[in-house]
Amino acid sequence: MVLPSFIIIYLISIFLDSFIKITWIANAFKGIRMAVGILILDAAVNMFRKMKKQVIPCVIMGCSFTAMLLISIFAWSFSSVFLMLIAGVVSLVIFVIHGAPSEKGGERK
Amino acid sequence: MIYLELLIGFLTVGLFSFGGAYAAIPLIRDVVLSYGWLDDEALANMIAVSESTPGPIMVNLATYVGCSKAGIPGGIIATAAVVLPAFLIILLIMVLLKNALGNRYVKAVIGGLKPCIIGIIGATGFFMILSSCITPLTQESADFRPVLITVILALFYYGSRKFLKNKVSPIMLIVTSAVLGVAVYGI
Repeated sequence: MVLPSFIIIYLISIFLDSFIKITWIANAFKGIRMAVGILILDAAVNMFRKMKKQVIPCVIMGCSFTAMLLISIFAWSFSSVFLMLIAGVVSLVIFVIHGAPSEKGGERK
Repeated sequence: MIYLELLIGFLTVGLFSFGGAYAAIPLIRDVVLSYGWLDDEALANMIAVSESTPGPIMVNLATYVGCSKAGIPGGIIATAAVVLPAFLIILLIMVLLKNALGNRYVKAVIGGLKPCIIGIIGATGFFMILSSCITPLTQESADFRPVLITVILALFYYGSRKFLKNKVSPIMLIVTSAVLGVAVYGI
């Protein structure tokens, strides 16, 4: 089931280093790197569109975005897993204090 | 030992990549950079390869990193490590914690995780675009080519969505970007 991809990728992993020494292939990859960034950003944008736009989630999102961006720019070694755990805890704490989950069935605002 | 590092690294990825394939990318980037296995450039290449090959990106990336660091055994370990947590957790939930997902507290935690992940993924994508575009600009002879390529690709991708019926698929975008890369850098 997983095998075909495995084999393909294994082969690529062996040959990529040699392939990339060929100029036009290296150039192609330079272009591909742009597409990768766009695709990742696009994935986030799509998820955002489907998200219910409530205050707390949006604040969490904004803070995580900023935090992650700063971490990347300054190359701090603050793991994104940690960031997620913090977000989970914050959300839980807010829930316990306010008693209103941001899913359906919560308080009508 | 590299095998142990691969195992632990990708177990972490498999465990915390809530939200699917793209959520795993920032995590994988974290793990890969902190172990010093790859740099950003090589990682971006690998992401591109993993998107273009059959199978889920996360699994392909794990295989790729594993294979390039430690051959076939490395690939197997990394791949197994990344799928195992999800497999086990789902098994656990089905068997033991049927009511866990309905629990209000669990919902609250998940309600916080989701926007956080969106922020993290967004920041990662944004950062990748920025760093590919800006660093060349700050060099002696400002290199506008990455900006050019990015703008063209963005217009192509979003323009096709608004004006044409068919959305451009990720593979199409990658192929286009490869062609653009060859064209723009080949001059």
